[in-house]
Amino acid sequence: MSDDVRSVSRGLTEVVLGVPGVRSVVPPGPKLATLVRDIRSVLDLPRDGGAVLVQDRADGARIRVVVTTDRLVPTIALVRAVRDAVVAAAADALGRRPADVTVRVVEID
Amino acid sequence: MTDDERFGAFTLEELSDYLDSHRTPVRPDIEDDPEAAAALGRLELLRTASRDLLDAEAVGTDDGWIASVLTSIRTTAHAGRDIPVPDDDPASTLVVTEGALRALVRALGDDVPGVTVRRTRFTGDVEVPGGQVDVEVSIAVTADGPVHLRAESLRELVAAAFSAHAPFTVRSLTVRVADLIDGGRP
Repeated sequence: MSDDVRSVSRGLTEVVLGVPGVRSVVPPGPKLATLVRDIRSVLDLPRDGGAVLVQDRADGARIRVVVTTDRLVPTIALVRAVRDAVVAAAADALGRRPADVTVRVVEID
Repeated sequence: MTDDERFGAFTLEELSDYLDSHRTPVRPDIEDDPEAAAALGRLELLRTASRDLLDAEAVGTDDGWIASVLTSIRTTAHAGRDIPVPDDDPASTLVVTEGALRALVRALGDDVPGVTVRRTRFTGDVEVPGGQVDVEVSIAVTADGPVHLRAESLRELVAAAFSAHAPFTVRSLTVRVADLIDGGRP
């Protein structure tokens, strides 16, 4: 990750945490099959930058967001609100709309 | 779960389901399959966020990073399939994991006195946005109250919660009493 992308990641993490109902932002980790083969692969998670994964590509940014949420807030509306907030903030930070945004809810508590 | 890889004769989804059922009834076909049994052991280890990991190079780094690593392991180990949220934007992928909904059902079960949720299964068009899905919840209940009322209470809670949180259409919702707990022992 370049310094710029780290900075965008940190900014987007703050934006996501500001969406009502988001409890935490979890860094996207290795796939389960990779973890089962080698639990230490999780140690490759970035230790700086934010928890939102931002990949700057020629065709536009690819952004992955993993969140845990509050069960008092309807998840379907929440996940769309997270997407909208991320797209707006990323467009501001990067100068154009991201090419691909994934938002994944992994815990509703 | 999007991992199609097999461990012995079994997918991670099958092994994960078996762990969810607390390995009961015992499945000799899984237990006697060396590769599946090894993967099962590692999956169980992941679910308890192993001491191995904390003994590794994570020690000495900041608590926030360790917390995020452990949350990542916990949620990945329980994630199950990705359930797509219906959405019109082709540049977005919005999903809720099966594990998130299962954990929600377990938490709702904790809100009903005398009920413990053992297992939640989703069948049907789970991976189709807005698809028709059958939900079956297996529970254990204590014998010190009306069993059917407890089951019905949970059914109502799950129905209400899924109308707000599930990205699919609930075609049927069944709460099945799998165990009666007498004197605190199933």
